[in-house]
Amino acid sequence: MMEPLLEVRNLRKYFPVRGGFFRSLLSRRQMWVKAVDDVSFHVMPGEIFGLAGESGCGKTTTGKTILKLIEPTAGEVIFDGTEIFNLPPQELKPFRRRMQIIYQDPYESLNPRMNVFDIISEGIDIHELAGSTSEKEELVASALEMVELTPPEEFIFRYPHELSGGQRQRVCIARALVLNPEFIVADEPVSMLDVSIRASILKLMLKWKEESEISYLFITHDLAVARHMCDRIGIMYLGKIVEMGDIDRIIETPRHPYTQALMAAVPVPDPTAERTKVMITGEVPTPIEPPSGCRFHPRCPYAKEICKRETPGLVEVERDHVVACHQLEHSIHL
Amino acid sequence: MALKRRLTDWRNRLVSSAFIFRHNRAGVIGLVIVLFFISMAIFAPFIAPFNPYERIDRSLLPPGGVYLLGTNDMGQDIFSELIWGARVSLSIGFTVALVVMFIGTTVGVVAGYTGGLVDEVLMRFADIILVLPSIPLMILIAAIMGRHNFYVMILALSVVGWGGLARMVRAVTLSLKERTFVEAARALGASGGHIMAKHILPNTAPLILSSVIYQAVGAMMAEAGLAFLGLGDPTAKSWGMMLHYAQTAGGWWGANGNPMWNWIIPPGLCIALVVLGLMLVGQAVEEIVNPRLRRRR
Repeated sequence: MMEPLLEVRNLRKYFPVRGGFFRSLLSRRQMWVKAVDDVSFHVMPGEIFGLAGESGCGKTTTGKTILKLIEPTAGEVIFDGTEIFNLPPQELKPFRRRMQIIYQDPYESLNPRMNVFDIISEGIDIHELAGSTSEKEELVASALEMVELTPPEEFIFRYPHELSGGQRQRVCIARALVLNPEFIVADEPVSMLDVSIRASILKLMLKWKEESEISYLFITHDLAVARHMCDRIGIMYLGKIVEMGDIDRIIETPRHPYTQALMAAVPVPDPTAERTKVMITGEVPTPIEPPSGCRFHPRCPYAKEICKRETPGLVEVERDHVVACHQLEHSIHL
Repeated sequence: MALKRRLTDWRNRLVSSAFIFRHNRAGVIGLVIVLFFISMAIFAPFIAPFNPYERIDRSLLPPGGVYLLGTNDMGQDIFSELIWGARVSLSIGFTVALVVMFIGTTVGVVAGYTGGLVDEVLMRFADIILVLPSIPLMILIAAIMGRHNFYVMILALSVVGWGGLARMVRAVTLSLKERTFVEAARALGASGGHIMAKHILPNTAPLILSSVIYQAVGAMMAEAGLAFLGLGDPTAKSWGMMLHYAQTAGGWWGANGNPMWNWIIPPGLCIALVVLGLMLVGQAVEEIVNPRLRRRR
């Protein structure tokens, strides 16, 4: 049995809500946004683990908290056998090289006053990966070649405003890749790009997974992309994972009503195709005071009394497929 | 190769900024005025016909002849005093602006980025500086530390000036540190110092530039004020110092009861012109930095 590269255990991130002055007079109680509430999963070496869900369900917060870019409230993250949340900054630094992140918005994630060379070589300088200037130039050039910004000398001295969105995203990826990481959090890396550019970037990510055994935490709201990319997936709703397991099993036989609703919302090219319809109504409730019991119960077509009272735990329904739902017998008939 | 490319980058940016600047007529006029006085300050020994610290003739001579603006009560050439005065006034103005820039940006960036207790302490200092009336404070500092000293003057003016800049830089830092590229740098493993130096500071630079020009204006006015009140360094003649002597040594009455305009007007006019020039340049720079202020043409 292989050891997981990354293991997340009971991760929680609560953000304090700052009420107005008058509200603080009325009630003493501190309110919290439970952005990530008791999330556990693992990522195997060379695996792409997906996190999917609606906007605001805590996918991005989970990704950033794992890298300790946001201070966690509770829980632990074990990377290659070491718990990283309690490490002092100096000991965390080598893990920063091994765990990288690609952001969603390539227009925000590059410093407008640095050129491509400075952006990519920054990590090399921080971790002292190059012995000489020429070695550094070589590393930067090879990173640019990896993301197919060729010839490198044409891009190396450009500033972000001189690049297109797709090129910027490639620079962001090169900045992460130059450190030779083992694990990358990809936070919706293609959702802001043209469809034409998406495919080539996704293809590159898959190539590095095969060639360099890079593992990804792939955050997305697009189940079609998730199916193309991921080996396993977790479906998040209001800060909790409601269903998790092998991507094909979850896409083909989703068991949680929420996953089923998500699947029903994916457009199908054939207009005559028969579709199961699980319609959910309403909006995602605010995570400040999430519903009691199962957080999905106000929108769930199968909700019973127990769903309002008790929070369902993740139960294994088949090999590598866990679901958190009290009403599994309903969903199985779909 | 990298260095060469960087130099051309800088040149290109300078050229394009210069292009915008050129289209701002007021800015160009301001720059001409400022450059005129700067060259006057630099070449003072060659331009000034006499040594301004030396008695060369009878006192209170009228303008004209050898002494373009006449002589003062000590028999020194006023025109030479005026030219050398540019040196003292400008160097105080620009030195104070630099010191203020250094203190203000350091305090602002550190307070904004570090946050917490450090932020609280530094900002309370800035608030103290901001709420204290500046003229009495400067007088106090000058009086305590020895009032007839060029460097004490610079210190007093700097201490009074950094509060506003620090607050402004802090505000910009607070918004910059939430930007994704700063978080990306943290993900790379960058230390706080590295992020402040490489990511925050360069992005505050354009803002700092125009405010430093205004700082220089403020410092020169304050210096003139302090010197006029007699708190300047008598061994370094500035325009404010000239006005002070004109006031105390009888410039208003002169030799025969008439005000000596040749003694009073020139230093005042010089101060006004330099301030005007710097303000115009400052506004033009602001326009380059903040494209929203730019008029369409």
